[in-house]
Formats: sequence, C-alpha cells, structure tokens
Amino acid sequence: MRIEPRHRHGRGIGLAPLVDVVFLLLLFFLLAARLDPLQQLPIETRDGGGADTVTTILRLDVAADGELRLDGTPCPSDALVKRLRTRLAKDPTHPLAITPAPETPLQTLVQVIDQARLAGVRSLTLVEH
Amino acid sequence: MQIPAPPRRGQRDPMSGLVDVVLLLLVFFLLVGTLETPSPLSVTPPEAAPGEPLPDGRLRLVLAADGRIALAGVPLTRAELDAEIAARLADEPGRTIAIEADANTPSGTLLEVLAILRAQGIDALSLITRESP
Repeated sequence: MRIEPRHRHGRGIGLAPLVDVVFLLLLFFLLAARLDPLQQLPIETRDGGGADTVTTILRLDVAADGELRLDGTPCPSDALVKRLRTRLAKDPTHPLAITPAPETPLQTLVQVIDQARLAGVRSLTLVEH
Repeated sequence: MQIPAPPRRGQRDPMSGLVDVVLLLLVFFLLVGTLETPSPLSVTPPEAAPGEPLPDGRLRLVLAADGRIALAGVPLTRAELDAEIAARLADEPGRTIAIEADANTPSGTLLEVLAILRAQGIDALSLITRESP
C-alpha cells in the first residue's frame, strides 16, 4: 500500500508570526529594562549631639538653599573642597558629620557628599539637625 | 524599450532582513538593560559623580518625595516599616539595604527613615544615585 505524501501548505512556517513575537519581546525589554546604570553612595548614620563627638568631629551644616556652614563659619560651596583638604591635611582620618536642614532637597545633600568624598573625607556620617 | 526585471537571487523572504535587525535590537536591549522589579512609587534618584556599582541582592527601600515608602515593591507606612525590616532581617541577617530616594525628598524625611533603620541596628547602607551626565 502506498501512502500519499501529505500535501504541504505554502512554504512551511511563515516568518510573519516570528516577527510578531520578536517585536513583542523587543517592546517588553524596551519598557521593562533600565538603560542608565544606577550606582550607590555608601552612607553612615549616627545619633546627633553626642558629648564626645562635638570636639573631634568636623561639622558641616547644609541649609535648604544649599548654603554651607563648616564648623559654624559660612563656607561658599566652591571653596568647600579646598577648606576640607586643608583640614584633612592635618589628620587624614578626620571624621565629617553632615547635618542637613530638614527641608534640604536630597539632590543638594548628595552634591555636598560628593564634594566631601572628592576632598578625600573617609569617615562621613549623616547627623540629624 | 522594455527593461527586463533583474532575476531574483534565491528564494529569500523579503522579511528576513527585518527579522535580523529586530533580533539584533532584542539582543542589544537584553545585554544593555537591567531588569528591575517595578516599584509602586515613581522616583528619580539624585545625580552624583561616578561611584561604586550597585551590589546584587540588596533590599530596596523606595522613598518618594512626599514621604511615602515602599520596601521591595510593597507600599508601607512608617509604623509597618519597622516590623517589616525586622522580619526581613531576621530571615536574612546582614542583608544590605539600598535606599532609592527621589532627588526632591527633603533630608528630614530621609533622616527619619534612617532613624527607623538605625533602631533596627542598621547604621551603614547605600543611597542609590544616577551617574550625572
């Protein structure tokens, strides 16, 4: 007995459904993926106002408008790195406590932390106002 | 005068060129992009100078500009955060916590959250930033 070969429709699997699926996948990854890589800024926290900390820690106040006070004296933001470096020249491990005002936007605070790290501050803590 | 149509080479489907390009794009986005669990709060992290890459396996705490909190994709109140952090740290002690806060979050709000975390014994964590262009 001879079995007739089955008649094939068209030319096998069409390309169009594959394109549809690949387009869907592409759209999914376009929407779900995040292209700008995120990074981290390590921070430490500490309770404010410890008696032993006042004399040894360099204190940097950040006001809501970005104005800085280094140990109580006003400091223009472009001079911060220089002043921190002169302080650190005496004691490279000198800790710095950054005290932001409650309304300071995080972006301002992060910029100050960035500058402090640029100046070479190794021990950096955030202290409540 | 009649110009004869050029003979077609092979039987190549005209769509296959398109498929090649789309597949390449797909592979590109698979390699370049990183998948993140979607967060219920939309935040834009602050910009910072190039720093350390984000470690894997961190517990992500999202802090919106209006003070709302979400831990690992679940929105929480301040009171719930305390218990939730304690429970998660009991499961996996020593797990790092990364705070993804909006660039406009007031520092006071951030420090309040840090105080809650400090009460759980966490005094070192990382703040998620974007690389400034």
